[in-house]
Amino acid sequence: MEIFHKLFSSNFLPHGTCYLWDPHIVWLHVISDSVIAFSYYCIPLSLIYLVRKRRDIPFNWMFWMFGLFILGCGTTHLMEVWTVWHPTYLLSGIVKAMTAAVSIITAVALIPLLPRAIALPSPSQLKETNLQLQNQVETRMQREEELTRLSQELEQRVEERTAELASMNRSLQGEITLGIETQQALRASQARLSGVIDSAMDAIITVDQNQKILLFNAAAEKMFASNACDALGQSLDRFIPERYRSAHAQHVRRFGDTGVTARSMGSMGQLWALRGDGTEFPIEASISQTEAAGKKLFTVILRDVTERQRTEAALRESEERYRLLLDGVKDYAIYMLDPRGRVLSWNAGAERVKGYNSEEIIGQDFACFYTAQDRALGRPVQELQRAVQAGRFEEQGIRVRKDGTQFWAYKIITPMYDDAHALHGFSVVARDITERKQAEDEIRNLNQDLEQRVRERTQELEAANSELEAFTYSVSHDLRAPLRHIAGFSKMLAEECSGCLHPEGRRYLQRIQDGTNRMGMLIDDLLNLTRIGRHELTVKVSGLESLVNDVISDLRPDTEGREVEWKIGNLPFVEGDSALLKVVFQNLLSNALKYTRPRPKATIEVGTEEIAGEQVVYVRDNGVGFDMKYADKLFGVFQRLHRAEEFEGTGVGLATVQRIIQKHGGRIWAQAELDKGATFYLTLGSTKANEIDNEPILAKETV
Amino acid sequence: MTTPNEVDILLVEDNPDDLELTLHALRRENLANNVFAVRDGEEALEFLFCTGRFSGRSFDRHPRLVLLDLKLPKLNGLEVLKRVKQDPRTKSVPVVILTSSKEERDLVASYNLGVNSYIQKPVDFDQFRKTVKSAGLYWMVINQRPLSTPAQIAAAAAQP
Repeated sequence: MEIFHKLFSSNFLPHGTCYLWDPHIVWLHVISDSVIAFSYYCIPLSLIYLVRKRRDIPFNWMFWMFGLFILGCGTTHLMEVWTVWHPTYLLSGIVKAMTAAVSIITAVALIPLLPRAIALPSPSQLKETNLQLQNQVETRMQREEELTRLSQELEQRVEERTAELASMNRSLQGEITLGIETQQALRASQARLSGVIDSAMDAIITVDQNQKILLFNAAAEKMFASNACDALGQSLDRFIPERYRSAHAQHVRRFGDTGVTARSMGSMGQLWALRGDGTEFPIEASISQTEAAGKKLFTVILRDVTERQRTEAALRESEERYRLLLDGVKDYAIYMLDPRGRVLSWNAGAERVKGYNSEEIIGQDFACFYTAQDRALGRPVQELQRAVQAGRFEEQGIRVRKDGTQFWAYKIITPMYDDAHALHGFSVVARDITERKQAEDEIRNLNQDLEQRVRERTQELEAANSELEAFTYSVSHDLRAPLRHIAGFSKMLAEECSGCLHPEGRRYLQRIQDGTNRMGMLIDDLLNLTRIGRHELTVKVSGLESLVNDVISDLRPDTEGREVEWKIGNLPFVEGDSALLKVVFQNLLSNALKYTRPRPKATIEVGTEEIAGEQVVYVRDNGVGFDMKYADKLFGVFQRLHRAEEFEGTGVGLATVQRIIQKHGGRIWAQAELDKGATFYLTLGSTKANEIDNEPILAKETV
Repeated sequence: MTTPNEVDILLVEDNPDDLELTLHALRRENLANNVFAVRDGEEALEFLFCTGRFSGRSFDRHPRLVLLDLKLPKLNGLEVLKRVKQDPRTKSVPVVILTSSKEERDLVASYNLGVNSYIQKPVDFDQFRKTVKSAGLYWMVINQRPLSTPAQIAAAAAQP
């Protein structure tokens, strides 16, 4: 306390006194010291701020030292102000001493620092360093960019790789699924396989090296008539006929040694198997070997060929029969060709027809049967092609025998196909038709000759016909004229000069007149007959009944003074030329009237009758009839069975009737007995107009 | 026999026997007063067309009937018929074919050419006379003919 007291108490005069309290001096010192003190206080504050902010500044403790030193300096100046009025010089000295102490420590501390401070980079160095740094920064930035880019690339690749992996993952999953399916399929396949084995048509038997049966399928059970449970574990020998057992065992052993996995058996000949019931049967077999768990297994697949052999035998027999048949055919060449036309088979007929024997021709091209000209035209191949296109080729043509002679052949080529519809070859059937051809030629010549003769004959007939036409025309005009003159003048003579004639003369005159009249009638009838021949039918349906009744009324004058019974039945409607049909019935009925004249009562019947399934119209009378031995003359022109004194007539009437009936396609015939009447039957065929030519009547009418 | 200008019946007949028999028949029926006979087709046409020997004839005095045979020398009956029926001056003259034949083709040809009647001469003379009588009566007495002259008839026919 005493110290403090001493410090702040003094018996000294204030410093101002030294200044004599001159206000100017006093205030000069006071203000200057105050400003210095203020500044000295400010500097450490700045330094402390700096050091606190820049903790990286090297030797920062030195800044603290400076701070303290400057603070001490400031305080001494503050003490200067204080001592102006307060003469505490002790305190002021202490403060100076402390400041001195800090100063000296700072100075001492500063000296070892100097080399290190010199070592601190200068601002230019720093600038350079900065530049370098800047460069470095730029480089780094570039690197950074590069890195960014690389990193992006990397990311890209990572993404890609990820995608790849994802896809691989998916496919892997798919494969896994597939694997599962495969396993399932495998299981199904195994099930199927065992199903197949059991349902196989062929017997399947697996044996081990010691012939012990390990598998015996359902077909095997059936084939060998043995149950699988009986067979399994047993030796295969029980199914092999005894005589083959050792050979079979050797065979299997040798097969095992070959290492071949599968082959058919039976190369040594027919294989036989033995059923449970002791019967043997032919088989066909194949064998295969596999190794399982180090053991060799043999699987035999067997087929019962009993049925097949039977079929084959039947087929062979059939083929043999067929061959014999073909060989037996001597008139026909029958041979087969392959698809290219080479001869495959040759029968005896072929040898006979073509002259080649089978040894010579089999394998040869069938083109050698053709003429050189046909071969040059490619006919052989064309015919095979046409057979394929049309399913058959048939023709007649000239072919060549082995000896070069030619003959006419009639030939059929038929393509043959196998089961797969592939062309298998051709069958050819050929025949030597030379003789027939010659005969045909002869017939053709004869026909031509005949045709020629027919033409000539036709011309002759046409000439005759036109002559006849001229003749009938002439008859019509010229022959009647003199007849008329004779009739006319004899009539005039009889009328005008009868007084000059004695009775005998008048009788002669009468005979002349009768003769001319008769001649006139004959000519008219004949002309009528030829007119019918030339007349074209006008066919229509006519009722025979009314037609007959018309004719009867026309004939009424002829029945005067006579008892005539007309019996008209139900008459049909017929197709025909009614005018001509009327002529038919006029003739038939007037004949009936004429030839019943001696009968006190004439009975004339017109009706129909069925004769041999055909409707026939008849005209029957009870007249004088005729002797059937003259029936064939009945319808001839000018043919009469009675004398003119008995019954008048020209002998043209029935000829006319027959002409008309024939023109209608019908028939007419008569049945009679002398003195017991006559019946005329007629049919009218289904008539076409113009069916019968206008042939000259005289040439035709020879019944 | 009459003069060409006073003819009632023109008889075209080449055969003298037929001519005589026909004239005899006509005479018997009192139809022969004005009959004129020509002996062939040419003469018939000369008569009817007033040419040649008959150029003095007049068209106004045509016969009332032509009896025409078919078989005639030079021009036959069908040719004569054709010329007569084709010409307006003569087509109104009645032509009756009187012939031996009744051949269908003659009948057809005659009717196609416009014949007025076709008569076949029967062989029997009595029948012939009856036929001539009937035909003569019909054409000369019963049949009516126009009073106009053939020229007037032709002129009337020419008008539409």
